[in-house]
Amino acid sequence: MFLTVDANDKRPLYQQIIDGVKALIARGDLPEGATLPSVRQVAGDLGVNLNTIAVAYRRLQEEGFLTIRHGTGTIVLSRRARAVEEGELRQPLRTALTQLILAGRSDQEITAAVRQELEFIHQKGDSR
Amino acid sequence: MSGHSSGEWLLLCITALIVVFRVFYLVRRLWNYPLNHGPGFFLGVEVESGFNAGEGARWLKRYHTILLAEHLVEALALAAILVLGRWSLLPLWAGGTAVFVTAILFGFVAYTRATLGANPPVRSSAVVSLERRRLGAYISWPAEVLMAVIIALCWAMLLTHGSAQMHWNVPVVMTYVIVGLLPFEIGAVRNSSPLPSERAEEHYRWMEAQRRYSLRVMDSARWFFIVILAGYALLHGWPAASTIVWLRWLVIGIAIAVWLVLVGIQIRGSGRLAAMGHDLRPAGSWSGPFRPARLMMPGFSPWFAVWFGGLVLLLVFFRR
Repeated sequence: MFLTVDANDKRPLYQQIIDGVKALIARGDLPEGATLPSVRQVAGDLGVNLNTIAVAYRRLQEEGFLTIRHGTGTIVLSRRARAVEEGELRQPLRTALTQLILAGRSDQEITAAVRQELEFIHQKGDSR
Repeated sequence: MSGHSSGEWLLLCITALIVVFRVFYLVRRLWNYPLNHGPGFFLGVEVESGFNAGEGARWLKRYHTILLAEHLVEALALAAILVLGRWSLLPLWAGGTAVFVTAILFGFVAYTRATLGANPPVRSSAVVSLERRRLGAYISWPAEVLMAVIIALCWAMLLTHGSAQMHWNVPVVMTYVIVGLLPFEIGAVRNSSPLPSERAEEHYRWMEAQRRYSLRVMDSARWFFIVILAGYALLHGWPAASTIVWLRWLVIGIAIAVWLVLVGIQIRGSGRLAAMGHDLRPAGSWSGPFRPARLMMPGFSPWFAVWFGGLVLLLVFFRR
């Protein structure tokens, strides 16, 4: 399982880590019970501050995706996020769809793009 | 020649084996080492296409000259030892030349990086593996405990029954080397580099193979020194040892067997790594978005300086 981070990405690094881990969980690459490397290992491998990774792990823990157990490490808890309202879940989708419409994409193109992204998420194995 | 003991003849045979290994390693591994990663790289530094046909040819010639000069110095030192009949210096030659060639190669790599690769390409993206590296998955703790027990027994034997003729330099230096290599092993497990975004999985497998290879080399070297330490403790700390003729040969046989295993690991492992990484991007040849290109993993350089400095001090102290 691999996680890509990009300095040109507009999202902050910790957010890229959060989104990357979530994508791996959604795809089934990180099943329930899987162990993640320590904060120190990820930070050292990437060459970033420990706090950046610690913040990402803490957010994932708060959202119910991870649990940090002393001795065993960071464990993937579940594929389901904590209960949130439908409206809250849809908000980022609405924002993304608005961006696509404003960029001049037709409804057919947007539908095709959404289908492609869904297929990519469900395509287990290729985590990059 | 008749004045030499059987032990010295054995040293000569081992030296002959070392020479064969070194010649093999020079021809098969070191000679084309700068071109290991294909035409886009020279000694781990990314170069423009066509470099190896032009300026690269001069760099390669410089590398070959240094390599040959280093081996010539080694050969002259060996010839002097043999002509003068100072065969007891052969272990010093073997250890000293191994350190010498490593230092020369390391120096040339550092020089190449500082000149040719002064401005490594900077990439905006990097990949990190989410595989957890547990120390226990790489380092066998039962084996470490066994090593510690053997070292403790050897020291107990030497301190309580050490003969008057024994030299403390052997147990002190061997123990220092064996124990001092463990932090290198821990460092090799803990430290890593970011992976390039293209062919990340292949780069990851190659990096893991490099990690396992370096651990196996260090482990077998430590076991080789354990055998020497244990043999020395048996022969000098056990009063009955002098009456058992075959004991010395048993110790020598085990030491040679472990050394042959070490050589086998190096020959097979280095060949496999070269084949695996021939078209991959070496770690340290590029700067990641958050980390500059590095010749050595962080933490290695200071520990190597401390460890190597300590070893030199010990050798100087015992030669006085």
